[in-house]
Amino acid sequence: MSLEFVGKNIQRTDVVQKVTGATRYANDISLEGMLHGKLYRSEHAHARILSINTDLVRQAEGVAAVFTAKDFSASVPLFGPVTEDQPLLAEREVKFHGEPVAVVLANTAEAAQNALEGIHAEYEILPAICTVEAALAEGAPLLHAEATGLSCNRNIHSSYSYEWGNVEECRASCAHIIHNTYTFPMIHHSMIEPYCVIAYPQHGGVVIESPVQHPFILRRVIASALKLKLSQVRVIPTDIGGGFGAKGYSKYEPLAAYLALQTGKPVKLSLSMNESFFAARRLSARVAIESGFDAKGVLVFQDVVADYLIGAYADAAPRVVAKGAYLGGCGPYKVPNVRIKANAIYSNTVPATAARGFGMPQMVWAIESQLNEACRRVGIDALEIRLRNLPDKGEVFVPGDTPADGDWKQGLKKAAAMIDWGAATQKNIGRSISIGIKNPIPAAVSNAIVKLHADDSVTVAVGTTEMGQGARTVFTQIAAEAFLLPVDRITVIMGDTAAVPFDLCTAGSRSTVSMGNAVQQACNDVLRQLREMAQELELIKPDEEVKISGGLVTGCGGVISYPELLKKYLGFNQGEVVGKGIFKGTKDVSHVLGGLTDFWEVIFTAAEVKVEPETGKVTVSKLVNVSDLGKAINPIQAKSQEEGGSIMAMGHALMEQLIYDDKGLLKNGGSLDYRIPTAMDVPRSMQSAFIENQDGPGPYGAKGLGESGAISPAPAIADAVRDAVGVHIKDLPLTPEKIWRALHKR
Amino acid sequence: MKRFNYAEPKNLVELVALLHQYGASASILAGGTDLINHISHGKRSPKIVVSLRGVAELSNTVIEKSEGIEIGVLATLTTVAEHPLVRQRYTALAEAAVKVGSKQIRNRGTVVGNVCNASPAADTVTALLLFDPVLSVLAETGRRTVALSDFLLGPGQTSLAADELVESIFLPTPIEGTASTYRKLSRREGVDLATVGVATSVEWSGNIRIALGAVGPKAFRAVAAELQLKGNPRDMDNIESAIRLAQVAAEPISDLRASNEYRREMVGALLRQALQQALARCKGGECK
Repeated sequence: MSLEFVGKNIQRTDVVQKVTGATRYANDISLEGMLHGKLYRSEHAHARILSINTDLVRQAEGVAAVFTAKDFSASVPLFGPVTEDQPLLAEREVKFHGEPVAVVLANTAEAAQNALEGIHAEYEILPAICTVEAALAEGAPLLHAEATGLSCNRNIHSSYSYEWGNVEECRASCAHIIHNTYTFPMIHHSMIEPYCVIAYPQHGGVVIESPVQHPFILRRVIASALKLKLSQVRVIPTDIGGGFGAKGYSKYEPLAAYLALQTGKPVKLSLSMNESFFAARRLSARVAIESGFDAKGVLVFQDVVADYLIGAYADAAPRVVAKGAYLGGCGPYKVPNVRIKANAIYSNTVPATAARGFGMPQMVWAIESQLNEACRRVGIDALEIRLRNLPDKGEVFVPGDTPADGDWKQGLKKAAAMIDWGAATQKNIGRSISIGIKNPIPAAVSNAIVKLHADDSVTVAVGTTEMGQGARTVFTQIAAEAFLLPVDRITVIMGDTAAVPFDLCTAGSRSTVSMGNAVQQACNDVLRQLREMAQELELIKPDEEVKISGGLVTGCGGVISYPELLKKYLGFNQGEVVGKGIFKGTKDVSHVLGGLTDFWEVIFTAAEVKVEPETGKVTVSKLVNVSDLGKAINPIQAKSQEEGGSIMAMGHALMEQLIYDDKGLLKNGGSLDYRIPTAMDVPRSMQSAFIENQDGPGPYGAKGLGESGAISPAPAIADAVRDAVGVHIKDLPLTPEKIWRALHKR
Repeated sequence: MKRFNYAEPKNLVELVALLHQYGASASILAGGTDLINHISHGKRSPKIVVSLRGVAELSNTVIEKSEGIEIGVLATLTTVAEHPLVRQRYTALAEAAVKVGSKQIRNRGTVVGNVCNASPAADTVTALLLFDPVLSVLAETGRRTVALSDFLLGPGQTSLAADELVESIFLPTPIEGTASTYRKLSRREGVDLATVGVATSVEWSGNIRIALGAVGPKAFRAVAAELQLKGNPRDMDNIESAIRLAQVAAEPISDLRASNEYRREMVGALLRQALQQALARCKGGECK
């Protein structure tokens, strides 16, 4: 089947608006009578609030209202997508440095900002917990001791265990047993657009406009926290200037909604870039992993304890832990005996949440590093040991779940070939290879509505949001292909919960598959209705072969255009055909995650590095990525996702980490001291390729991608460093000083 | 939003009068790449910002003089980095200027501004110290000249009085056959502060100069190391002795970028690299 639009490098439909600055972001919104809110934040990590003096501020010029916990009519509402444990404003206690304790509403942002200086809070400082070790120590303060309904044991929010085979019984059969502990740092998403929300009352409810990835989850969380009905909460997501998970779940929206309802006015909370560091981060983790191999390097068992450090409030972190742990014992490999326990552990740090890769970069860092250690003991190379452990296509590797759905050995070999695997390297240059894997969100639902208008233009209405990943363009291509209409006749409406049907979320690399299927189905529903109309009008016979494409319905009776057909059937200027589509991920109530894996998101990464032994500096000279994505709907967008993800991963591999001092204060919360890779740090040779066997469940055999690039580079880079200069580092990031210390035994 | 008045004097007379009138409550705007940050972070709260852009007498270029070059107060980092004579005779300065910030910052920020900001990690300051720079300082009361090493007092501190401005920096022509280089270690390749910066020059005669940045309250010349190398800069043992002297002279701190121990060691690593490079350039005849 030849395709007109799918598989082509169609220019992003929003590119001109974005590069000319015409795109309207949340911060561009200004409404009549709008109040500007600024947050007064805790300067302590953990402290009891003794008093907050706001008297001076309440009379200040331009100030309309000041809210602290005492100004709430009842106790401060709690919110959260998993556990409702986070207050709109801290009530009795602050639990992390930067937690909001008061908000000033004023006529201008400047007046609100200036007024903050007049607030004075008194605290009794409590001991702060910022590490896994401190949180689990005997006698450690319990951060959520007062919470009801939480099984808080030594600050563990929840634990997740998966097991198959028998880890204990197989130990004796192993030729090599390797035990290591790997750590992964706290990472900030570093999206360019800071948080911003505008909320205003409407029809007895509230409207929220914000760059949120998951408008329907936000709607549920706000309705629950503020005791509203779902129909009373309307979320309009704005174009997102970078999300990466940071904007997945509610942050300041519940507070803004509350303030709008209390004051009866539009309220805007617009944060600075530095304040973003007080809102979200990726989970850090300590992964203790024991792996058994036979004499040929084939995995016999893995026994894993993963301690993920979440923040002061749960946010989405427990789900990250549950998902990360699910593949944390096996990765993409056949491992007959697996036991994993993963803990989500509270701390006095910024709440941790979803971040590109959703728990997998932490686990893949450990699993891949173990294979790299094993291949040295067995005497084979990093490519060979992976080939010996990968399942073949169709082979089950997680008992009870979808078998391997791609030719993964083909992808691995391709990545190896692209980096000249096996060719000699010069001194201080090393290579390695790794595999990243992730499963999307199980049993997730996406609905789409497609409307064919009287002039044969099309509106596609979806709950997916656009955060730069290119979903708007992908859906445009799918609809254009279905109707064989030019892309400029397709308009995609995204996210407004009052205007589009339900979609779970824009996350987990799921939209091309799940929403893509829903859009394609809705288009087919429209085509079916057109055919029925033509039949009813007796323009075609029931059993006749008809072609509906390019705006024309062609039968033996001749040709009729969509507009003519609609006019004939519905009347002049009254035509519209509405199609519906739904995708439901494979639900299975007996499965631990609630459903089966719809596709495996798998990537193969090969890295070449140069290490300068005198300084410990690492230069990634080559980075190769190969994604097994079934079919690239838009190859250049897919490539950009893959590259973007792996540049992001170079951050946690080489330089990024949030640093808390022993008092729990964030020392590098800002872009001056928190360094992420720049264009100058991008490898000189960066190559992308795809395996396109059209074996995915999405339209045209597509699988999802977007996160995978962020999952696999760290272990490849770290092992390439080991290949280059012989140092084995188990805690990220690989800073020059750390490498230098390892090289010089300091 | 921070509020301040803004003035664009047309000539030096108006400029120095304004500086005299407002003194410490005035801030001078050249490129603004430091000033704007300082204002928005509350580090400085000027009543008036005095822009140099309209002052007819002030230069935005590198002027070739018979005895050396003069870098105008408005000469951007890009201008200096790309100037052929700077690249040829003052190579370390060109290499340092091109490592400051990003392209956008280098297109606006000035070398004189980088000097007046007096960061211990300022790339151009470390490189400039190799070349006996003399600053021309202007006030309503008249002109004075001051050596860069005397001008710098500590982190963010200079000998510039409230009513003065730096008009230009004069660099005498190095001895024929001098080669130089600047080495910078930072956490990432683009837009970063130096964790350690080392500048070195080698004269044909064997005289060596060494300047160190980000390893003390201000960038400085490692004089003892220079003396150690004098006349015998290619001997490996002697180089190691000199490196130890440079490391002793360094007083690095531990901060988010690196520990003091690592910084001190990196003085050695970078100096070794810098010497090799400068000596190779000298040997290669590039500096003749």
